[in-house]
Amino acid sequence: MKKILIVDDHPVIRKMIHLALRDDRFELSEACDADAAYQMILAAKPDGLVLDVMMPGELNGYQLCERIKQTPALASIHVVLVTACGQVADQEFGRSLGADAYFVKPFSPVALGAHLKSALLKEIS
Amino acid sequence: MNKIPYEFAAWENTPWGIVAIDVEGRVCAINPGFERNTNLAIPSLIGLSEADFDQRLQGVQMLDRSRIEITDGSLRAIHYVRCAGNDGHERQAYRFAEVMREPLASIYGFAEMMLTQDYDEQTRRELTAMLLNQAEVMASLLNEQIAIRQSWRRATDSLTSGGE
Repeated sequence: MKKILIVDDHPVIRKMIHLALRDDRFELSEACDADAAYQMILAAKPDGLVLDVMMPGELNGYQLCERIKQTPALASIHVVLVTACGQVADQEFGRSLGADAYFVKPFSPVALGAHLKSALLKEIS
Repeated sequence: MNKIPYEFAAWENTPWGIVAIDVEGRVCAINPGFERNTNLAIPSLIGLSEADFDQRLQGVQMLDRSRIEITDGSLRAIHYVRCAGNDGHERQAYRFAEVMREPLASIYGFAEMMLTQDYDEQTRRELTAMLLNQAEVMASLLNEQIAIRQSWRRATDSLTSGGE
């Protein structure tokens, strides 16, 4: 079972992603901001992270992504940034921080699900 | 400064640069539009006296500038500036697009899932309700944006006509 943490301050978006990722091989959990997400990541390291960028709180999604990728014990987490920041420079910045994928809202939840199945389940699919 | 959401949106997104002068006569708050207009860094201005602030603005080419005296005791004055060549409109468009992308993401996503996945009747109803709700959110955001722009148009007209 692969653990995926969905982080977005919009409950409707969390619900949509949750529904799109519903799969017996995924264990899904949710956080409404990056600070809460970081505590959840430290408590139970997920395999994948679907991470919004602009959220209230001390940390935004970019900062959390950078913190994860700079922490050796967490760096293997597959981070997918899902964001309304749609400029090329935003995507380049996200990738420079180590994000494994970048989806711009509006995005295809079916494609997001396919991406995570490919990235996380490839060894057993 | 504590600001309610629409005040915050206006403060953050207006193409005008706005600077508040406290009752002691020092710069106490500057909006992001000021930095975009003048290319003067906010941290270098906070705390300056109004005279020093005026000095720093010398050499900045402005299309328009106003100073409004505040008489309710909370502040001394508000400065408004607008410079040529700032990319305020473009930034505003990007910010607005970012806000609109949130409900649009839900509408796009739920519609795609309803089209491609098999859900029971109860789930389909729930998803349809969310689609409608997010469409309403988009409509509200559009109306709010129009209201903000109308308010700023009135404020601009008032300033450029000498506050009449």
